[in-house]
Amino acid sequence: MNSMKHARQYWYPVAMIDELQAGQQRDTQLLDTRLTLTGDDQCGLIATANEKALLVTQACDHWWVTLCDTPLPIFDLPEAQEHERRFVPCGVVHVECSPLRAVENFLDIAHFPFVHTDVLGAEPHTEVYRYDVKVDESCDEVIASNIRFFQPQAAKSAEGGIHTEYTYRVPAPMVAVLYKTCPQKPDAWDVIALFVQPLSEDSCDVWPWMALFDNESTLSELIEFQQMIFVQDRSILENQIPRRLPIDPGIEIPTKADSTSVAYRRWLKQRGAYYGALAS
Amino acid sequence: MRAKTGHEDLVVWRSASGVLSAWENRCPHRGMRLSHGFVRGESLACAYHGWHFECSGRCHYIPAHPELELPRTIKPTTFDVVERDGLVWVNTTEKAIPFSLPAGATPLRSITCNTTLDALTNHIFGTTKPCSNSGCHSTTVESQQPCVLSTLLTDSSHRVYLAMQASEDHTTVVHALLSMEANETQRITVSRWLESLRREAESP
Amino acid sequence: MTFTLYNYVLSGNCYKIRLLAALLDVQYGTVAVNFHPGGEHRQEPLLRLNPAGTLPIMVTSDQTLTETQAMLVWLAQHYDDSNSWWPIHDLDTLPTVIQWLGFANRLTSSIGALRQHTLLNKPADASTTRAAGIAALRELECRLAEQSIRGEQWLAGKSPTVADIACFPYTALSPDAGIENDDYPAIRSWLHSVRSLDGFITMPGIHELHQMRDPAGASAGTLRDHHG
Ligand SMILES: N[C@H](CCC(=O)N[C@@H](CS)C(=O)NCC(=O)O)C(=O)O
Ligand code: FES
Ligand SMILES: [Fe+2]
Repeated sequence: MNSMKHARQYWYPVAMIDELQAGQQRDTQLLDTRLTLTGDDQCGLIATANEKALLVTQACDHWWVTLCDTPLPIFDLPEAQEHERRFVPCGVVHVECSPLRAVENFLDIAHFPFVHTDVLGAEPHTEVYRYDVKVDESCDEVIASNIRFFQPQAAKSAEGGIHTEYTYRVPAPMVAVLYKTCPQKPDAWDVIALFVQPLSEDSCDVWPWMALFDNESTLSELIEFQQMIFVQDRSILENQIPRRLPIDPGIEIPTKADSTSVAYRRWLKQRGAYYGALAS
Repeated sequence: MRAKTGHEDLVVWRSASGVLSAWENRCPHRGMRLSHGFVRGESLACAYHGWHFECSGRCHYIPAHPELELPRTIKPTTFDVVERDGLVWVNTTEKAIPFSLPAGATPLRSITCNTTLDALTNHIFGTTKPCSNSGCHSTTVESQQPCVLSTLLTDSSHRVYLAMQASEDHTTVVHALLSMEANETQRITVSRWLESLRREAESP
Repeated sequence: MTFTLYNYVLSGNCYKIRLLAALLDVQYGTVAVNFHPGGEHRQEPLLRLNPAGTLPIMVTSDQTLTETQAMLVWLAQHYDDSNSWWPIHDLDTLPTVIQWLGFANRLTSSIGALRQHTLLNKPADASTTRAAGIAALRELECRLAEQSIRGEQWLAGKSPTVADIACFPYTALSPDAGIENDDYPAIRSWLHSVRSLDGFITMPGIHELHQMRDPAGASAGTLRDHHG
């Protein structure tokens, strides 16, 4: 199957739920295809490509569309039904990079001390301890768990440094979800997800989303924290060369700390998810 | 800092003790441009995950694995680099051999023009004599593509040397040098002249 | 409380105020404004504070300021005992400072507008703002190259002024807008000078100078960002 055909089977985020009022229109792009989004009277969304209406669905405070008539089911995120959480769609950020590079960066912790200095990491606490990575056969997802990292300010709600624990899931090539220690509720996990809208193979719109336990911060403060983190990553993402993700080993050198990235690349390759990848 | 030659994206950096290096501008780990990195003592560290590279190019420290013994093979492609007369010369295929500049010239400034090298040199030596109305007369030229050196004489008889470097994206970097004796006012005049040279060369 | 800043973490104009406040070691309160995606700065109740619908907004005990250049001057007048950031007694330098304060508005309307477009998908005329941004950077480069010929490091006078702070954010953030600043050596070395100032803080898109940090962590904290 070619890379485009493969990519078209999935659902992609294109807007926040309440973004477009009835009659309001916005143009965007998905997998090299021009889309027009229009809000309708029933608070719904109409998405068209080349005058053809596309399948549309709602998930995690966003509108998702697919270019395929018989798409794969959208990923499952049970935490989105836990109503004691605060759901925070953070708004779109445009990045000139491969959608796969954006996901891979989200799965990486070794950059925290250098890119998110004094927030998600700080020298000398740079060591990445051994963690577990597997492809879960039941749901065919990459899962990395038992990740521990020292963080000066793990979340908006954190006061001082803590050892944070992380678990990552990649339920679709352009969707990544992380579970991390919740500073205010040590027995629970905060959920942060990155939903990537691939505009082309080397540019994307990224829609970060969070489901948190935090009763103190204002919504603006929570959004601000996440935007600060993601825009720190953006200047890295726009300066990685080549722009597309090298999916075959050889061009780039991984270490043990990159086990998630290695598993992600291998998983993409096995399923033929080459859209945004540089195949040799 | 980042530099471009004909087709190569380079990082050029100087260690604390003064050693100069020019490498391919790509970290071998995850491809980050090394020109965004930071110099710590005798190492260049990558901005993304902080891998440290010594002047030879060899990676000697990976912060995610502080104890790890590293093979000598992890290094970006390195190039020959020479510093002379205040200019840095790089050759991405063989040994770097600088043009010989007459003694007594000091660097003034480097300025990037949105024109090809040919268009720029044609402009400087063209029949329209664009430079004369700004007080400069061009005299000689040495050329060795993709790099050209030309000598100009200002009204106050100071020599200006232009080392011009073409880049694949149709821009040209001009490194201007000026006789050591030129005073502050004369140096500023030549800097302004470079600005008008660029304006004229870029105008359609 | 000295003042309250209605703040947005990704705004270069808000960062100007945070930066000078940090350099002068002034404590203040912030209110996080949901600029994106919320657009709160263009709605009530913020329009009551600033009908222009822009950020930042600075509220002091006796006035509300909505122009960043004025806020910088207010900060310097109240908290810089040396009178060097706003050199009110140096009549040779002051007009030049004001000249570059004015120039800073051109950076906002070109690079700042283009950056909102490339970063947050806000509407802007990409080719016009890009051309204006490059023209502005070239002018700044010319000025700084001449200053360096004079043996000076800053935009006006012998020490940093509010003009340097006003021009710093959108110059440093130009790569966010797709305008690389590798081609401007005098700008790069001036950016480095600003980033090396004692008390300097970062914002997303402007990384810390890690070379100044002790890798063992002893000085960690001295270059901290103040968030929220
Ligand atoms: N009031 C001017 C302009 C400030 C400005 O342009 N702020 C931007 C954010 S950095 C803004 O609020 N733009 C309004 C908008 O784009 O909706 C100043 O203080 O220099
Ligand atoms: S990309 Fe350079 S250290 Fe990771
Ligand atoms: Fe990150």
